[in-house]
Amino acid sequence: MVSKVLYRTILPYVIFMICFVPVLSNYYFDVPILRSVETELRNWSTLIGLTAMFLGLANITIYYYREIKRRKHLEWQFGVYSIALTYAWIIYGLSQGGLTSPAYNEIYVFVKGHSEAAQIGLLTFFFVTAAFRTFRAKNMQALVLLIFAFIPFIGVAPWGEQIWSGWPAFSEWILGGITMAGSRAILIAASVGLVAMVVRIVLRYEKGGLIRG
Amino acid sequence: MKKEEGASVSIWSKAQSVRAEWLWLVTLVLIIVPLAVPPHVPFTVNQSTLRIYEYVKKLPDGSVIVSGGSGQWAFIYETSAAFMAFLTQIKNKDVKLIIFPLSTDSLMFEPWAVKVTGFDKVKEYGKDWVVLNYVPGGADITLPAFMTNIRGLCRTDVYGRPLDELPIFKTVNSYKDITLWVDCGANSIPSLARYVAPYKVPILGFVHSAYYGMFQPYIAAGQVYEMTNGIRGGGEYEKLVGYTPWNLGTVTMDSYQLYSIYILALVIIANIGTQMLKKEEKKQ
Repeated sequence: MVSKVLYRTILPYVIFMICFVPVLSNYYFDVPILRSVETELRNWSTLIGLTAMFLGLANITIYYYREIKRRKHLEWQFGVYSIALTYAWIIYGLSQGGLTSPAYNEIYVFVKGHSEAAQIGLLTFFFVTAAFRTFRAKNMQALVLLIFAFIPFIGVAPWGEQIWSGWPAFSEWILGGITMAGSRAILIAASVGLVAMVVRIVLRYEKGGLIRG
Repeated sequence: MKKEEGASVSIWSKAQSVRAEWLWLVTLVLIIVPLAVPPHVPFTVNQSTLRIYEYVKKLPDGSVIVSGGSGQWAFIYETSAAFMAFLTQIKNKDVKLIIFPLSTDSLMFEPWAVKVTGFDKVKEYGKDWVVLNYVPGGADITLPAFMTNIRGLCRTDVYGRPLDELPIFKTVNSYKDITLWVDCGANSIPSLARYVAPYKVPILGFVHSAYYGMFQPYIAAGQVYEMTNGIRGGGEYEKLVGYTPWNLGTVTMDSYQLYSIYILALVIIANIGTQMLKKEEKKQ
Protein backbone atom coordinates (compact mmCIF):
# COMPACT_ATOMS: atom_id res chain seq x y z
CA MET A 1 0.00 0.00 0.00
CA VAL A 2 2.83 2.38 0.98
CA SER A 3 4.80 1.52 -2.15
CA LYS A 4 1.66 2.07 -4.29
CA VAL A 5 1.22 5.58 -2.89
CA LEU A 6 4.94 6.25 -3.24
CA TYR A 7 5.10 5.18 -6.90
CA ARG A 8 1.77 6.52 -8.05
CA THR A 9 1.45 9.74 -6.10
CA ILE A 10 4.57 10.99 -4.37
CA LEU A 11 7.27 10.07 -6.88
CA PRO A 12 5.62 11.66 -9.98
CA TYR A 13 4.97 14.81 -7.97
CA VAL A 14 8.56 14.99 -6.72
CA ILE A 15 9.90 14.53 -10.26
CA PHE A 16 7.52 17.20 -11.50
CA MET A 17 8.68 19.68 -8.84
CA ILE A 18 12.36 18.92 -9.47
CA CYS A 19 11.82 19.84 -13.13
CA PHE A 20 9.33 22.64 -12.60
CA VAL A 21 11.11 24.75 -9.96
CA PRO A 22 14.47 25.29 -11.76
CA VAL A 23 12.82 25.99 -15.14
CA LEU A 24 10.40 28.51 -13.68
CA SER A 25 12.97 30.13 -11.40
CA ASN A 26 15.45 30.50 -14.23
CA TYR A 27 12.89 32.57 -16.11
CA TYR A 28 12.72 35.13 -13.29
CA PHE A 29 16.19 34.97 -11.68
CA ASP A 30 19.62 35.01 -13.30
CA VAL A 31 21.40 32.41 -11.18
CA PRO A 32 24.17 30.42 -12.96
CA ILE A 33 23.38 27.12 -11.23
CA LEU A 34 19.69 27.40 -12.10
CA ARG A 35 20.63 28.08 -15.71
CA SER A 36 22.83 25.00 -15.95
CA VAL A 37 20.16 22.82 -14.30
CA GLU A 38 17.56 24.16 -16.71
CA THR A 39 19.82 23.52 -19.73
CA GLU A 40 20.45 19.97 -18.50
CA LEU A 41 16.73 19.36 -18.07
CA ARG A 42 16.03 20.63 -21.57
CA ASN A 43 18.68 18.29 -22.96
CA TRP A 44 16.99 15.45 -21.15
CA SER A 45 13.69 16.47 -22.71
CA THR A 46 15.27 16.13 -26.14
CA LEU A 47 16.42 12.64 -25.22
CA ILE A 48 12.93 11.81 -23.97
CA GLY A 49 11.60 13.07 -27.32
CA LEU A 50 13.96 10.73 -29.14
CA THR A 51 12.95 7.82 -26.94
CA ALA A 52 9.29 8.67 -27.58
CA MET A 53 9.91 8.28 -31.32
CA PHE A 54 11.20 4.75 -30.78
CA LEU A 55 8.33 4.03 -28.44
CA GLY A 56 5.95 5.27 -31.12
CA LEU A 57 7.49 2.90 -33.64
CA ALA A 58 7.25 0.00 -31.19
CA ASN A 59 3.70 0.99 -30.36
CA ILE A 60 2.39 1.02 -33.94
CA THR A 61 4.21 -2.24 -34.64
CA ILE A 62 2.59 -3.96 -31.65
CA TYR A 63 -0.81 -2.42 -32.41
CA TYR A 64 -0.89 -3.47 -36.05
CA TYR A 65 0.65 -6.86 -35.30
CA ARG A 66 -2.28 -7.56 -32.95
CA GLU A 67 -4.77 -6.26 -35.51
CA ILE A 68 -3.30 -8.45 -38.24
CA LYS A 69 -3.24 -11.49 -35.94
CA ARG A 70 -6.87 -11.03 -34.91
CA ARG A 71 -8.20 -9.95 -38.31
CA LYS A 72 -11.28 -8.78 -36.49
CA HIS A 73 -11.57 -5.43 -38.24
CA LEU A 74 -11.08 -4.62 -41.88
CA GLU A 75 -8.21 -2.30 -40.94
CA TRP A 76 -5.82 -5.23 -40.66
CA GLN A 77 -5.03 -4.81 -44.37
CA PHE A 78 -3.97 -1.24 -43.71
CA GLY A 79 -1.89 -2.58 -40.85
CA VAL A 80 0.08 -4.78 -43.26
CA TYR A 81 0.53 -1.81 -45.57
CA SER A 82 1.57 0.48 -42.76
CA ILE A 83 4.10 -1.89 -41.20
CA ALA A 84 5.59 -2.88 -44.56
CA LEU A 85 5.95 0.74 -45.64
CA THR A 86 7.41 1.92 -42.31
CA TYR A 87 10.09 -0.74 -42.14
CA ALA A 88 10.87 -0.60 -45.86
CA TRP A 89 11.39 3.14 -45.46
CA ILE A 90 13.66 2.71 -42.43
CA ILE A 91 15.74 -0.08 -43.99
CA TYR A 92 16.08 1.79 -47.29
CA GLY A 93 17.03 5.03 -45.52
CA LEU A 94 19.64 3.36 -43.35
CA SER A 95 21.16 1.40 -46.24
CA GLN A 96 21.33 4.46 -48.54
CA GLY A 97 22.80 6.87 -46.01
CA GLY A 98 19.59 8.67 -45.07
CA LEU A 99 19.41 12.34 -45.96
CA THR A 100 22.71 12.29 -47.83
CA SER A 101 21.11 10.04 -50.45
CA PRO A 102 19.44 11.96 -53.33
CA ALA A 103 17.18 8.95 -54.06
CA TYR A 104 15.92 8.89 -50.48
CA ASN A 105 15.12 12.61 -50.68
CA GLU A 106 13.41 12.27 -54.06
CA ILE A 107 11.22 9.43 -52.80
CA TYR A 108 10.22 11.52 -49.81
CA VAL A 109 9.37 14.54 -51.95
CA PHE A 110 7.55 12.72 -54.71
CA VAL A 111 5.75 10.08 -52.67
CA LYS A 112 5.14 11.36 -49.17
CA GLY A 113 5.24 15.07 -49.94
CA HIS A 114 2.97 15.03 -52.96
CA SER A 115 0.54 12.53 -51.41
CA GLU A 116 0.16 14.86 -48.45
CA ALA A 117 -0.37 17.89 -50.71
CA ALA A 118 -2.93 15.94 -52.76
CA GLN A 119 -4.77 14.91 -49.63
CA ILE A 120 -5.10 18.51 -48.47
CA GLY A 121 -5.95 19.51 -52.05
CA LEU A 122 -9.09 17.38 -51.79
CA LEU A 123 -10.41 19.96 -49.35
CA THR A 124 -10.82 22.32 -52.32
CA PHE A 125 -13.56 20.06 -53.61
CA PHE A 126 -15.16 19.44 -50.24
CA PHE A 127 -15.23 23.17 -49.65
CA VAL A 128 -17.26 23.59 -52.85
CA THR A 129 -19.83 21.06 -51.67
CA ALA A 130 -19.89 22.59 -48.20
CA ALA A 131 -20.34 26.09 -49.64
CA PHE A 132 -23.34 24.90 -51.63
CA ARG A 133 -24.95 22.69 -49.02
CA THR A 134 -24.30 24.45 -45.72
CA PHE A 135 -23.59 28.17 -46.20
CA ARG A 136 -27.23 29.11 -45.77
CA ALA A 137 -28.38 32.35 -44.19
CA LYS A 138 -31.31 30.88 -42.29
CA ASN A 139 -31.39 33.68 -39.72
CA MET A 140 -29.82 37.09 -39.09
CA GLN A 141 -26.79 35.68 -37.19
CA ALA A 142 -26.01 33.27 -40.01
CA LEU A 143 -26.28 36.11 -42.53
CA VAL A 144 -23.83 38.29 -40.59
CA LEU A 145 -21.42 35.35 -40.28
CA LEU A 146 -21.70 34.66 -44.00
CA ILE A 147 -21.01 38.29 -44.93
CA PHE A 148 -17.98 38.51 -42.64
CA ALA A 149 -16.64 35.22 -43.94
CA PHE A 150 -16.82 36.45 -47.51
CA ILE A 151 -15.16 39.83 -46.98
CA PRO A 152 -11.63 38.37 -46.49
CA PHE A 153 -12.41 35.61 -49.00
CA ILE A 154 -13.12 38.18 -51.73
CA GLY A 155 -10.37 40.47 -50.38
CA VAL A 156 -7.79 37.86 -51.30
CA ALA A 157 -9.20 37.36 -54.83
CA PRO A 158 -7.90 39.78 -57.47
CA TRP A 159 -11.43 40.50 -58.76
CA GLY A 160 -12.33 41.89 -55.33
CA GLU A 161 -10.14 44.92 -55.86
CA GLN A 162 -11.34 45.26 -59.47
CA ILE A 163 -14.89 45.93 -58.30
CA TRP A 164 -13.77 48.12 -55.39
CA SER A 165 -10.18 49.25 -54.93
CA GLY A 166 -10.60 49.50 -51.17
CA TRP A 167 -11.57 45.86 -50.77
CA PRO A 168 -8.11 44.45 -49.84
CA ALA A 169 -7.64 47.24 -47.26
CA PHE A 170 -11.13 46.61 -45.88
CA SER A 171 -10.40 42.91 -45.67
CA GLU A 172 -7.11 43.65 -43.87
CA TRP A 173 -8.99 45.84 -41.43
CA ILE A 174 -11.42 42.99 -40.69
CA LEU A 175 -8.51 40.59 -40.10
CA GLY A 176 -6.24 43.04 -38.28
CA GLY A 177 -8.99 44.71 -36.27
CA ILE A 178 -12.16 42.74 -35.61
CA THR A 179 -10.66 39.25 -35.97
CA MET A 180 -7.61 40.28 -33.96
CA ALA A 181 -9.80 41.38 -31.05
CA GLY A 182 -11.43 37.95 -30.98
CA SER A 183 -8.13 36.09 -31.39
CA ARG A 184 -6.54 38.17 -28.64
CA ALA A 185 -9.37 37.36 -26.25
CA ILE A 186 -9.02 33.65 -27.00
CA LEU A 187 -5.21 33.74 -26.58
CA ILE A 188 -5.34 35.64 -23.30
CA ALA A 189 -8.08 33.40 -21.92
CA ALA A 190 -6.13 30.27 -22.93
CA SER A 191 -2.94 31.63 -21.32
CA VAL A 192 -4.71 32.49 -18.07
CA GLY A 193 -6.26 29.02 -18.14
CA LEU A 194 -2.81 27.50 -18.58
CA VAL A 195 -1.43 29.42 -15.59
CA ALA A 196 -4.42 28.32 -13.52
CA MET A 197 -3.83 24.72 -14.57
CA VAL A 198 -0.15 24.91 -13.53
CA VAL A 199 -1.12 26.37 -10.14
CA ARG A 200 -3.63 23.54 -9.68
CA ILE A 201 -0.96 20.95 -10.51
CA VAL A 202 1.56 22.55 -8.13
CA LEU A 203 -1.01 22.65 -5.32
CA ARG A 204 -2.01 19.06 -6.11
CA TYR A 205 -5.61 19.90 -6.94
CA GLU A 206 -5.23 18.45 -10.39
CA LYS A 207 -5.45 14.69 -10.25
CA GLY A 208 -4.86 13.86 -13.89
CA GLY A 209 -1.90 11.90 -15.21
CA LEU A 210 0.42 13.12 -12.47
CA ILE A 211 -1.33 11.76 -9.39
CA ARG A 212 -3.11 8.44 -9.50
CA GLY A 213 -4.72 6.12 -7.07
CA MET B 1 -49.10 32.03 -64.39
CA LYS B 2 -49.36 29.34 -61.73
CA LYS B 3 -47.68 26.88 -64.04
CA GLU B 4 -44.73 29.27 -64.55
CA GLU B 5 -44.28 29.73 -60.79
CA GLY B 6 -44.32 25.99 -60.27
CA ALA B 7 -41.69 25.53 -62.95
CA SER B 8 -39.38 28.13 -61.41
CA VAL B 9 -39.71 26.53 -57.99
CA SER B 10 -38.90 23.12 -59.40
CA ILE B 11 -35.70 24.54 -60.92
CA TRP B 12 -34.61 25.79 -57.47
CA SER B 13 -35.59 22.49 -55.95
CA LYS B 14 -33.54 20.64 -58.56
CA ALA B 15 -30.60 22.97 -58.00
CA GLN B 16 -30.62 22.10 -54.30
CA SER B 17 -30.19 18.42 -55.01
CA VAL B 18 -27.49 18.67 -57.68
CA ARG B 19 -24.92 15.89 -57.30
CA ALA B 20 -21.60 16.77 -55.68
CA GLU B 21 -19.69 15.14 -58.55
CA TRP B 22 -20.94 17.81 -60.99
CA LEU B 23 -19.83 20.56 -58.67
CA TRP B 24 -16.42 18.92 -58.36
CA LEU B 25 -16.10 18.56 -62.12
CA VAL B 26 -16.68 22.28 -62.63
CA THR B 27 -14.15 22.97 -59.85
CA LEU B 28 -11.57 20.81 -61.59
CA VAL B 29 -12.09 22.66 -64.88
CA LEU B 30 -11.86 26.04 -63.16
CA ILE B 31 -8.58 25.05 -61.53
CA ILE B 32 -6.95 23.35 -64.52
CA VAL B 33 -7.84 25.86 -67.28
CA PRO B 34 -6.03 28.84 -65.70
CA LEU B 35 -3.04 26.61 -65.00
CA ALA B 36 -2.88 25.60 -68.66
CA VAL B 37 -3.66 29.07 -70.06
CA PRO B 38 -2.64 31.54 -67.33
CA PRO B 39 -4.48 34.85 -67.73
CA HIS B 40 -2.15 36.55 -65.19
CA VAL B 41 -4.80 38.55 -63.43
CA PRO B 42 -3.56 41.89 -62.06
CA PHE B 43 -3.48 42.43 -58.29
CA THR B 44 -2.01 45.05 -56.02
CA VAL B 45 0.60 44.46 -53.34
CA ASN B 46 -0.55 44.51 -49.75
CA GLN B 47 1.22 46.72 -47.17
CA SER B 48 2.25 43.65 -45.12
CA THR B 49 4.06 42.03 -48.04
CA LEU B 50 5.62 45.35 -48.99
CA ARG B 51 6.96 45.81 -45.45
CA ILE B 52 8.53 42.34 -45.56
CA TYR B 53 10.12 43.05 -48.93
CA GLU B 54 11.50 46.40 -47.75
CA TYR B 55 12.78 44.90 -44.50
CA VAL B 56 14.66 42.12 -46.29
CA LYS B 57 15.98 44.61 -48.86
CA LYS B 58 17.49 46.75 -46.09
CA LEU B 59 19.18 43.84 -44.28
CA PRO B 60 22.84 44.75 -43.68
CA ASP B 61 25.63 42.72 -45.26
CA GLY B 62 26.65 39.68 -43.25
CA SER B 63 23.21 39.26 -41.69
CA VAL B 64 22.43 35.84 -40.28
CA ILE B 65 18.94 34.57 -41.06
CA VAL B 66 17.46 31.53 -39.36
CA SER B 67 14.71 29.77 -41.23
CA GLY B 68 13.02 27.92 -38.43
CA GLY B 69 9.50 26.76 -38.84
CA SER B 70 7.41 23.72 -39.48
CA GLY B 71 6.93 23.99 -43.23
CA GLN B 72 4.75 21.18 -44.47
CA TRP B 73 4.20 19.63 -47.86
CA ALA B 74 0.47 19.69 -47.34
CA PHE B 75 0.51 23.48 -47.57
CA ILE B 76 3.11 23.74 -50.28
CA TYR B 77 0.98 25.98 -52.51
CA GLU B 78 -0.13 28.06 -49.61
CA THR B 79 3.05 29.04 -47.79
CA SER B 80 6.01 28.05 -49.93
CA ALA B 81 5.28 30.64 -52.62
CA ALA B 82 6.27 33.42 -50.22
CA PHE B 83 9.16 31.39 -48.81
CA MET B 84 10.56 30.80 -52.29
CA ALA B 85 10.18 34.48 -53.14
CA PHE B 86 12.06 35.27 -49.94
CA LEU B 87 14.87 32.88 -50.88
CA THR B 88 14.99 34.44 -54.35
CA GLN B 89 15.30 37.89 -52.79
CA ILE B 90 18.13 36.94 -50.42
CA LYS B 91 20.11 34.73 -52.76
CA ASN B 92 21.92 37.70 -54.30
CA LYS B 93 22.49 39.42 -50.97
CA ASP B 94 25.43 38.99 -48.66
CA VAL B 95 23.54 37.08 -46.00
CA LYS B 96 23.89 33.71 -44.31
CA LEU B 97 21.05 31.24 -43.94
CA ILE B 98 20.70 28.65 -41.18
CA ILE B 99 17.88 26.17 -41.63
CA PHE B 100 16.66 24.91 -38.29
CA PRO B 101 13.65 22.65 -38.93
CA LEU B 102 10.96 22.42 -36.27
CA SER B 103 9.30 19.37 -37.81
CA THR B 104 10.39 16.29 -39.72
CA ASP B 105 8.61 17.54 -42.83
CA SER B 106 10.39 20.86 -42.60
CA LEU B 107 13.73 19.07 -42.62
CA MET B 108 12.96 17.88 -46.15
CA PHE B 109 10.90 20.83 -47.30
CA GLU B 110 13.28 23.71 -46.62
CA PRO B 111 16.36 22.24 -48.37
CA TRP B 112 14.05 21.35 -51.28
CA ALA B 113 12.90 24.98 -51.53
CA VAL B 114 16.55 26.08 -51.42
CA LYS B 115 17.31 23.81 -54.37
CA VAL B 116 14.24 24.84 -56.39
CA THR B 117 15.09 28.54 -56.07
CA GLY B 118 18.73 27.93 -57.02
CA PHE B 119 19.91 29.36 -53.72
CA ASP B 120 22.41 26.51 -53.40
CA LYS B 121 23.90 27.36 -56.81
CA VAL B 122 25.00 30.85 -55.82
CA LYS B 123 25.78 30.17 -52.15
CA GLU B 124 28.33 27.80 -50.70
CA TYR B 125 27.11 25.13 -48.28
CA GLY B 126 28.74 25.37 -44.88
CA LYS B 127 29.92 28.93 -45.47
CA ASP B 128 26.76 30.76 -46.58
CA TRP B 129 24.04 28.32 -45.69
CA VAL B 130 23.58 25.22 -43.62
CA VAL B 131 20.88 22.72 -42.70
CA LEU B 132 20.70 21.64 -39.09
CA ASN B 133 19.09 18.44 -37.96
CA TYR B 134 15.57 18.10 -36.66
CA VAL B 135 15.72 17.82 -32.87
CA PRO B 136 12.84 15.90 -31.31
CA GLY B 137 11.05 17.31 -28.29
CA GLY B 138 9.00 20.05 -29.88
CA ALA B 139 9.54 23.79 -30.28
CA ASP B 140 8.96 24.40 -26.55
CA ILE B 141 12.12 22.45 -25.78
CA THR B 142 14.32 23.09 -28.78
CA LEU B 143 13.78 26.81 -29.35
CA PRO B 144 14.96 28.06 -25.91
CA ALA B 145 17.99 25.78 -26.13
CA PHE B 146 18.74 26.96 -29.66
CA MET B 147 18.52 30.62 -28.75
CA THR B 148 20.96 30.38 -25.87
CA ASN B 149 23.45 27.85 -27.20
CA ILE B 150 23.22 26.51 -30.77
CA ARG B 151 26.18 24.17 -30.36
CA GLY B 152 24.74 22.80 -27.14
CA LEU B 153 21.60 21.69 -28.98
CA CYS B 154 22.97 20.71 -32.38
CA ARG B 155 26.38 19.09 -32.40
CA THR B 156 26.39 18.41 -36.16
CA ASP B 157 24.58 19.53 -39.30
CA VAL B 158 22.07 17.25 -41.00
CA TYR B 159 24.84 15.43 -42.89
CA GLY B 160 26.78 14.67 -39.71
CA ARG B 161 29.50 17.34 -40.03
CA PRO B 162 30.43 18.86 -36.66
CA LEU B 163 29.39 22.52 -36.39
CA ASP B 164 32.95 23.53 -35.47
CA GLU B 165 34.08 22.42 -38.93
CA LEU B 166 31.52 24.64 -40.69
CA PRO B 167 32.78 28.19 -41.40
CA ILE B 168 29.31 29.70 -40.90
CA PHE B 169 29.42 28.79 -37.20
CA LYS B 170 32.69 30.60 -36.54
CA THR B 171 30.68 33.71 -35.75
CA VAL B 172 27.28 32.27 -34.88
CA ASN B 173 26.69 30.90 -31.39
CA SER B 174 23.43 32.20 -30.00
CA TYR B 175 20.57 34.68 -30.43
CA LYS B 176 23.09 37.55 -30.25
CA ASP B 177 24.35 36.60 -33.71
CA ILE B 178 20.93 36.18 -35.36
CA THR B 179 19.64 39.13 -37.40
CA LEU B 180 16.33 37.73 -38.57
CA TRP B 181 14.10 34.71 -38.03
CA VAL B 182 11.71 33.51 -40.73
CA ASP B 183 8.91 31.00 -40.36
CA CYS B 184 8.37 29.14 -43.60
CA GLY B 185 5.58 27.06 -42.19
CA ALA B 186 1.98 27.14 -41.31
CA ASN B 187 1.74 27.30 -37.56
CA SER B 188 4.99 28.05 -35.75
CA ILE B 189 4.30 31.71 -34.99
CA PRO B 190 3.00 31.19 -31.39
CA SER B 191 6.13 29.22 -30.45
CA LEU B 192 8.39 31.81 -32.07
CA ALA B 193 6.59 34.64 -30.30
CA ARG B 194 7.14 32.83 -27.02
CA TYR B 195 10.78 31.81 -27.37
CA VAL B 196 12.38 33.95 -30.10
CA ALA B 197 10.68 37.33 -29.71
CA PRO B 198 11.89 37.88 -26.09
CA TYR B 199 15.46 38.00 -27.44
CA LYS B 200 14.46 40.91 -29.71
CA VAL B 201 15.10 38.91 -32.87
CA PRO B 202 12.70 40.17 -35.59
CA ILE B 203 10.36 37.50 -36.96
CA LEU B 204 8.83 37.29 -40.44
CA GLY B 205 6.12 34.72 -41.12
CA PHE B 206 4.91 33.16 -44.35
CA VAL B 207 1.68 31.83 -42.99
CA HIS B 208 -1.39 29.98 -44.12
CA SER B 209 -4.44 32.19 -44.86
CA ALA B 210 -6.42 30.43 -42.16
CA TYR B 211 -3.85 31.50 -39.54
CA TYR B 212 -3.32 35.02 -40.87
CA GLY B 213 -6.19 36.51 -38.90
CA MET B 214 -5.51 34.32 -35.89
CA PHE B 215 -1.86 35.44 -35.62
CA GLN B 216 -2.56 39.17 -35.98
CA PRO B 217 -2.26 39.81 -32.19
CA TYR B 218 1.42 38.87 -32.38
CA ILE B 219 2.05 41.66 -34.89
CA ALA B 220 0.06 44.17 -32.85
CA ALA B 221 2.07 43.19 -29.75
CA GLY B 222 5.33 43.72 -31.65
CA GLN B 223 6.40 40.10 -31.23
CA VAL B 224 6.24 39.39 -34.97
CA TYR B 225 7.40 42.01 -37.46
CA GLU B 226 5.11 41.01 -40.34
CA MET B 227 3.41 38.09 -42.10
CA THR B 228 2.30 37.29 -45.65
CA ASN B 229 -1.22 36.08 -46.24
CA GLY B 230 -1.21 32.61 -47.84
CA ILE B 231 -1.26 32.33 -51.63
CA ARG B 232 -2.10 35.98 -52.12
CA GLY B 233 0.89 37.04 -50.01
CA GLY B 234 3.09 34.64 -51.98
CA GLY B 235 1.85 36.06 -55.29
CA GLU B 236 2.48 39.60 -54.08
CA TYR B 237 5.99 38.74 -52.92
CA GLU B 238 6.72 37.10 -56.28
CA LYS B 239 5.54 40.26 -57.99
CA LEU B 240 7.97 42.33 -55.91
CA VAL B 241 10.88 39.96 -56.41
CA GLY B 242 10.22 39.68 -60.14
CA TYR B 243 10.39 35.99 -60.78
CA THR B 244 10.76 32.77 -58.84
CA PRO B 245 11.34 29.43 -60.57
CA TRP B 246 7.84 28.09 -60.07
CA ASN B 247 5.86 31.31 -59.54
CA LEU B 248 3.54 29.25 -57.35
CA GLY B 249 1.63 32.20 -55.92
CA THR B 250 0.97 33.96 -59.23
CA VAL B 251 -0.12 30.75 -60.95
CA THR B 252 -2.38 29.75 -58.08
CA MET B 253 -3.90 33.24 -57.94
CA ASP B 254 -5.22 32.74 -61.47
CA SER B 255 -7.07 29.61 -60.38
CA TYR B 256 -8.18 31.25 -57.14
CA GLN B 257 -9.74 34.07 -59.15
CA LEU B 258 -12.20 31.72 -60.87
CA TYR B 259 -12.58 29.44 -57.86
CA SER B 260 -13.63 32.30 -55.57
CA ILE B 261 -16.20 33.56 -58.10
CA TYR B 262 -17.54 30.02 -58.39
CA ILE B 263 -17.84 29.61 -54.61
CA LEU B 264 -19.61 32.94 -54.29
CA ALA B 265 -22.00 32.06 -57.13
CA LEU B 266 -22.78 28.71 -55.47
CA VAL B 267 -23.49 30.33 -52.12
CA ILE B 268 -25.78 32.92 -53.75
CA ILE B 269 -27.63 30.25 -55.76
CA ALA B 270 -27.98 28.03 -52.68
CA ASN B 271 -29.33 30.90 -50.57
CA ILE B 272 -31.80 32.08 -53.22
CA GLY B 273 -32.90 28.47 -53.60
CA THR B 274 -33.49 28.15 -49.87
CA GLN B 275 -35.61 31.31 -49.81
CA MET B 276 -37.61 30.19 -52.84
CA LEU B 277 -38.29 26.81 -51.29
CA LYS B 278 -39.33 28.50 -48.05
CA LYS B 279 -41.74 30.64 -50.02
CA GLU B 280 -43.14 27.55 -51.69
CA GLU B 281 -43.59 25.80 -48.35
CA LYS B 282 -45.44 28.83 -46.97
CA LYS B 283 -47.78 28.87 -49.97
CA GLN B 284 -48.56 25.20 -49.54
